[in-house]
Amino acid sequence: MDFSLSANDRERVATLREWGREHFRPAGLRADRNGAALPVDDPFFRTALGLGYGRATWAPPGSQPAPHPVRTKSAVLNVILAEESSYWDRGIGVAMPGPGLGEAPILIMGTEEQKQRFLAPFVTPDKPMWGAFAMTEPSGGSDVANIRTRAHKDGDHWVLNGAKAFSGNSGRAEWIVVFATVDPKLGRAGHRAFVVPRDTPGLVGFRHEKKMGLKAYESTSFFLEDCRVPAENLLGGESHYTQRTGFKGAMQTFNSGRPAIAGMAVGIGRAALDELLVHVRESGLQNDSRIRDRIDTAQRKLKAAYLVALKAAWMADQKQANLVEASMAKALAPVAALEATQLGMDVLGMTGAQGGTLIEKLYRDVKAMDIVEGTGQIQRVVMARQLVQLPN
Amino acid sequence: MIDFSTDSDIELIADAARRFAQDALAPHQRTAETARSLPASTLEQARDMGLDRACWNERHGGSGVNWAGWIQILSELARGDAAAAVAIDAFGRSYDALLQAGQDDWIERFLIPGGQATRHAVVVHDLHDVLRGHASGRLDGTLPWANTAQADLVLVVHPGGVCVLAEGFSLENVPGLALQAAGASRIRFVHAPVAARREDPALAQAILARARLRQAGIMLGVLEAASTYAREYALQRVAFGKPIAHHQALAFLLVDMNSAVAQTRLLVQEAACRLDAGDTDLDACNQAFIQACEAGHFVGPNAVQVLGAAGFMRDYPVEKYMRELTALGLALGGADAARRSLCRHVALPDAIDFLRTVTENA
Repeated sequence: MDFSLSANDRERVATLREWGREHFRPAGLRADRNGAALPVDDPFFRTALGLGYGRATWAPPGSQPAPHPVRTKSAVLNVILAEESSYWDRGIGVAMPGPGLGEAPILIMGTEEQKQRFLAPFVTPDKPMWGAFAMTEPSGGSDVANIRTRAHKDGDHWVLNGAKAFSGNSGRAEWIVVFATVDPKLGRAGHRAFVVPRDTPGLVGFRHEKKMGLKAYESTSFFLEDCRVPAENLLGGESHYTQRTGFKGAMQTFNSGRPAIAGMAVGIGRAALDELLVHVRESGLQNDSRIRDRIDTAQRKLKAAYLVALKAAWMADQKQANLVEASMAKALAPVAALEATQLGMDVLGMTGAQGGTLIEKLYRDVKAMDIVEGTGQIQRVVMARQLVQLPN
Repeated sequence: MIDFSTDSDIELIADAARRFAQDALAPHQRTAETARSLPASTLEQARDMGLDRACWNERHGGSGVNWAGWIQILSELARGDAAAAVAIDAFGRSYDALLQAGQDDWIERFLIPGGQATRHAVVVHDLHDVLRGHASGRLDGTLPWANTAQADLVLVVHPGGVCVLAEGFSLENVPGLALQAAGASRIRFVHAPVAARREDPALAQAILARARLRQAGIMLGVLEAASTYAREYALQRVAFGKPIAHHQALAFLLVDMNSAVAQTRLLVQEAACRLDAGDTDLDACNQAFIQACEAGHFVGPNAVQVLGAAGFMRDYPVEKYMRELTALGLALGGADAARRSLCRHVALPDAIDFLRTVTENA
């Protein structure tokens, strides 16, 4: 058993810390103060491309992918890097160019030809480009088995109809991985995943949602109105779904993200505590035992949640079933992080309420972490199914 | 490098401890509680397995099991009977305190005089400095509760340091909230001569923090036992046409109990690994203990709650778990005392770093 970072991992974290201080936090604060996502042509994205962001983790057969700053083959390292990255700005993390959340389903379900077609442009991009992922709908998020967007085959095309919501970067993406159902009665077996290029007719009604926090990235809703997608854009092809692995593929996407999301939440909470420590010193409150106790408590809860996230990720790396641990991390970390930011606000008092401080921004940012990829309540349902066989 | 796997040698010992706990301790825990002592044969079996000296250094006749390993063993024992875990851990606890305070000299002088470990040594924590006379070399006063029925050597850890006493004290039975099988006594000191002492507040805090980690390891075992028992009961007990575990209010409660145990386990393991790596920053030990106390306050009463009226009865073990979790916390001052330790003795950090290394600490 070992809880220390390897020298290599420490080096990666140190690099990320430098970038975070120099680039990520200033860009995140700028977006927050402007109340709008960084535009596509913002110079920050060129900088990010230069740092190694914007690339796929996939590489054509026979070649090695360039190392990605925060996406590695190690789930543990991904949690560690996610934590450090989010410490500086979580919204910037989502805003980063690249195939984003859309890459995982392509890697898991896609054919070699599809990987080549959709991910090759991201191998060595010469300009910032985005991919996107759209599962959530206005009528529901975590209940993916009941998605309502319909897909039906029409000749050599699939026709999609429905609405998607809260999809990061969809409005600026080259393509969006859209999940739909061929028949809601089939439940999970009816699911299909399509790669829908940006200029596809029927992909309409893009609306940038106005968020409480995480303003650096665009959250978008859109409609699919008789949106005709070539049959070759069905991820994995028909045979993939006759084996009924479609939904499982989608769930793999979700599960692999939960420890990392937990790490992100911890990063936000840690940022709030560090900022609070500065304020406590400047205000001469360091010997106030009530505040000290609250800081210690917040720190302990964040640390516990972080350890659960690392354990869940380690289990994933060891190919051990980690459904309970992954959901536990996702349920615990955002609550601990919210508590840390709330503590910061409590100590700042009126200064916190006036707005414009980092802690106030973190307080608005962090709440999303208890919602994305399944709320804390959904995570409890997932855990209860495993622990006490709670019926669906 | 982050790694949650357990050393195979430790796993073997922990397996043996698990079997011992489930076969020899758990079935007799109520009898032992009523008798206010563990059967002699049980303690003999523990000694035969080397559990009494497992975490002693090899040069003193121990097995040299590290902190991570001993914590795992302790929690296994406590799953069978927390009082037995306390009684068995008393050997290691006194060894660690004496070694910290007086190195090999105190071990050889007080614990294994003439090479024979014949003394029943007890460590007590005078957290509120109620005993008087440290300076004069003779102690007076009363400590209201200690988990032991006998002692021929007492190590008093007080805020200012540590002192050792071999005479001038007496033990009286007290009812005790829990852990009676390990003994429950009031210790009265009457002009008791101090045989050796070290005035060093930092040393006292270090011994206390390390004891808290051991206690958290025991509490972890009880937490696991309580959480598991409540879950299994809730799957069998039917109300309104389905197992009570399938009513979401209870399902979520059981999930949260499980999560509280998991967090405790990880904080305890992390603190143990820090000690094994030579970390001198002991706030992780105090954090683990606070976590165990808070988890105890949550899991213990809720395990009883899940069983309803049955949980209130001594026919089921959950009321015992609830009492034990509170008693184990209180033995070392409870979570509030540990919070005070953190506030008083740990400098406010410049920045939070959950995974800072031992090297970085140094």
